This record gives sequence, structure tokens and C-alpha cells, in this order.
Amino acid sequence: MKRALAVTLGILTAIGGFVDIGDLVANSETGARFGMRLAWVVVVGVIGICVYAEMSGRVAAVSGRPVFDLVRERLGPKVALANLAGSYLVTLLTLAAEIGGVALAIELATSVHYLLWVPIAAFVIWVVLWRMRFETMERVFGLAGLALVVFVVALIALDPPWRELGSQALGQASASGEGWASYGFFAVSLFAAAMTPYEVFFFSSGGVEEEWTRKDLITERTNVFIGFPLGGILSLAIMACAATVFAPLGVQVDSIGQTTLPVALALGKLGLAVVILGVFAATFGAALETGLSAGYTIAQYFGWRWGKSVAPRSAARFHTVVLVSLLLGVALLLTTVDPVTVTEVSLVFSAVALPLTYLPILVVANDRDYLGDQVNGRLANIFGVGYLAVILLAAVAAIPLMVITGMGTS
Amino acid sequence: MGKRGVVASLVVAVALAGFVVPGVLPATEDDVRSAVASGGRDAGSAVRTARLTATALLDGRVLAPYRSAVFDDARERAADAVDELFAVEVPTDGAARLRDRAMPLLTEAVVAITDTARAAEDDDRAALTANASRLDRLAAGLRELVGAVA
Repeated sequence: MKRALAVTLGILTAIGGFVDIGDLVANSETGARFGMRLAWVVVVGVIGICVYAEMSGRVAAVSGRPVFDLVRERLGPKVALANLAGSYLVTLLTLAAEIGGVALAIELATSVHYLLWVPIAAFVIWVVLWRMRFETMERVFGLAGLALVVFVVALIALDPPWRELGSQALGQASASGEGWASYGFFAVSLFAAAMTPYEVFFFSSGGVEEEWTRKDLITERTNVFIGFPLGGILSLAIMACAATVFAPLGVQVDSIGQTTLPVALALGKLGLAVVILGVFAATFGAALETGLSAGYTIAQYFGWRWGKSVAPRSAARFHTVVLVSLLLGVALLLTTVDPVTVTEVSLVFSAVALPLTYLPILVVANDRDYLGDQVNGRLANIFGVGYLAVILLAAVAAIPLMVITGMGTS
Repeated sequence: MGKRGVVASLVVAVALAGFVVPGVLPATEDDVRSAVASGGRDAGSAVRTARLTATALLDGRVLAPYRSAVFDDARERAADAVDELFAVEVPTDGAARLRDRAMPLLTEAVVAITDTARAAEDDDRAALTANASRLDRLAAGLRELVGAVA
């Protein structure tokens, strides 16, 4: 009974923790511009993150060490340094975007400008990172993120033209009128939103923090293969809400206020309050994860002691990196750059950095010295290599598409 | 020059060709047309978002802080569209005509959103209803503008 409860809680946490600022922004922007024509990218992205999160979780559970630690050992310091530089910068951008998301959610609830909330939000994030137990932190914000299920309820209440949305998703509807470059740009952004690099660093390091062993492999796989796809349904619901309300009017979405508006239209004040809570929890939880991931990657590369389960005095450099990363994120936002723009840029650079993250995971997951009989099987490798090809394509296309479309504006 | 030097030079050349050169070339009538279309789309999105918010407000479906935040975002977006069009160099008479056609609609969008927000703040349902109709007319005008120049 206790075991079943733990598994259920893990799945619910994975669902609630799946959506972050990147998913909120990319899915609503895409739904407004393309209807459900890019829904297939969400499906492809969710399968991809399942494949690689399972690998990195398995590496952590079997070897007792996180992926990044093994990447340096297996591929050498030079390759790992390139990996570290790319991953850290993308994680830092994502962290700034998540802090901005928290501030924007509070602005929606208070009407006080988000810039005033940025330092306060970052301080509270730091306090939670400093004081709260890892498991409690993960559970509280993961479960609160379940409030985003309100997008599914709102979609049903909006009574959308299901047949039309379905034919858009299946590629049977007429073209959206957008150019191929915009289509490609948003496809890459959506893919990067689903496969953000920090997710696997956090997942594998979190596995070590929670002291996973081989016995936990079933729990890990259940979380990944049930929790993540259900989380993906939330992403599709966000897209479908925007497709129903904004696409017919030709409205382009560029703010979190717009992302949540369909819920208000469908469900009124109660729904609005719940969706604002959901956005807050999703971005706050993701800010905790990205803040920790920034510390994890650097500490693991340099071989420092790391982790929330270690007393701060014993992992001082890890905690310093987390704090400095938070301050850098705040500094970036206080330049008054729009958090939604930061999110869009972070998605593009995430796409560029994807191979740096996922290729080493595939290499380590095939190494018998670390995984023994738990190395990748044939199916995992077929998916892993197939996805690596997709990841490379997205990485190569990201910057040219960003330039050609002016960040998707044309 | 070694291999690394060649690669570095290539990267600089691509960056110059992709980012710097287009930014310093003189504006053409097509640039103005593109700025008008983009401004019209942005202002249209802002106007329609304000209209949807006004509808939700009239139905009692939104909270006051949320309403303020959404109207502020919409007004800023429309104002940015005006600023960007003002900033575009106008090289020909044709380009000037395009700008002069678009500018009143864009500025009217900013004013209409501001007035709608004020009516909402004052809880003046009659003014809110009137402004909602005004936003509808503006949205139609902006859509026509974008259709004409795109």
C-alpha cells in the first residue's frame, strides 16, 4: 500500500512538474498561430524526453552517480567542458525565464509590475533551495503544478470544434497560411521545450539525492513512462485552448496573461485563480530545478561535493554556484528584457545545446563498466539513435530559422 | 592561417552577413510595408485580446488584478507597434503613404485599449460596452490593413 502510494505520488509529481515556462509559452504561441498543426511535435518531444530521462535515471539508479559526473569520466575533461559550457548557459537562461514566469504569475494575481517581484521571487526560491528537503520540495511544487489540469477542464468547457482540431493535428486541415520557416521555427521551439536539457540533469541528480538503487528502477520507469506522457497532455491542452480561442481571431500570443485567458473565458474567476496558481507552481518548481541543475552540472564537473542532502557547510561551492546563478538570472531580468523573450531565446539555444546533453547520455548508457547488465537494450538504442538524429537536425536548424523568421515574428 | 583561424573567420563572416549587414542597409519600401504589416498584426492581437478581456469582464469572469495586467500588456504591445513604425526610415512617397495609412489605426488602438482599461477601472459598464464595440471596429480595420499590405 505504501509502495503504491509512493508510485502514485511520483506519477502525479511528474505530471505536475512536466510543464514549465517554456511549455506554457511555446504551446500557447503555437496553438494561436498554427492551431493543432504542430501537436505532433509535442508527441515526438514527449517520447524523446521519456527515452532519455529513463536512460539517465537508470544510470543514476545503477551506478549511484549522476550522468554529468560520468560524462567527464567517460569522455574526458575537454569534451565534458564543452558540454558543461553549453548546458550551463542554457540552464542559466532557462532559470532566468522561470524566475520571470514566477514574477509574471504574481503580477497576474496582484497587478503589481513583475519587475518588482523578480528579486523577491528569487529570494524565496533561494530560501526554499536552502531550507526545504529535496523530496518535500519536489512533491509540493509538482503536486501544486497539477492545478494546470484546469487547461483540460477549460478546453472541454470551451466546447471546441473537436473535429477541426483533430484534422489539424492529423495534418488533414488546410494550411495555416504561415510560411514554412515559421512552421519550422515553432516546431524546433516546441521540441526544445519538451526536451529541455536541465530536465535530465535534474532527473539523474535527483535520483542520486533520493538514493535510488536498482530496486527503484520500476518506480523510475513508471514516473517517466506514465507521468511524462500525462504531463504532455497538459501541453496539448494549453495548445488546444489557444487554438480554440485565439487562432480563429488571428491573435498572436506573447504574454502569460494571454496564455491563461482561455481558462478565464471558459471557467470564470475560480478557473482563473486555479490557473494562476498552476502557472506559479509550475514556474516556481522549474526555477528550483534549474537552480539546482546549474549547481549540479558545475559541481559534478569539478568533482565538488554537491546536493541538497549534504549539509551546506560541506557543499559550500555547490550552494555558492546555485546562489550566483540565481543572482545572474535576476540581473538578466532587471535589464527589463521581457521574460517571454528570454523564454523564446532559451528554447532556441536549448535546441542548439541538445546534442551536447543527449549524446553523452547515450554513450554512458551503453557502457557496461557503469551499468553492467542494465546497459541499453536494442530498443532503447534504436530510439536513442533515432532521436539523436532528430536532435541534431533541430540543433542545426535552430539558429538559421531564428534569423530567417526574426524569432518567429514573420 | 591555421584551421582554427579559418573557422573563426568564417564564423565572423557569417555573423556579419546574417546580422550586421542587414541592419545597416538603407530601408526600402518593402521594409516599410513589412513594418506596417508587423505593426498591424501586433496591434490587432492587442486589440482583440483587450476585446476578449472586456467580454470576460462584462460576464464577471475575471479578477481585477488580472484584468489590469492583461490590459497593461495589450496597451504596451500596441504602443510598441506605434514606436516601431515611427522608427522606420521612410525612403519614398509610396512608403510615406503606407505609414500614413497605418499610423492613425495604430495610435487609435493604443487609445482604445487605454479607454477600455479606464472604463473597467471605473466599473462603468456602459463605457465598457461602447469601448468593446470600438475595439471590434478597430480590429476589423487592422485586419484589412494587414491584408492590404501583406
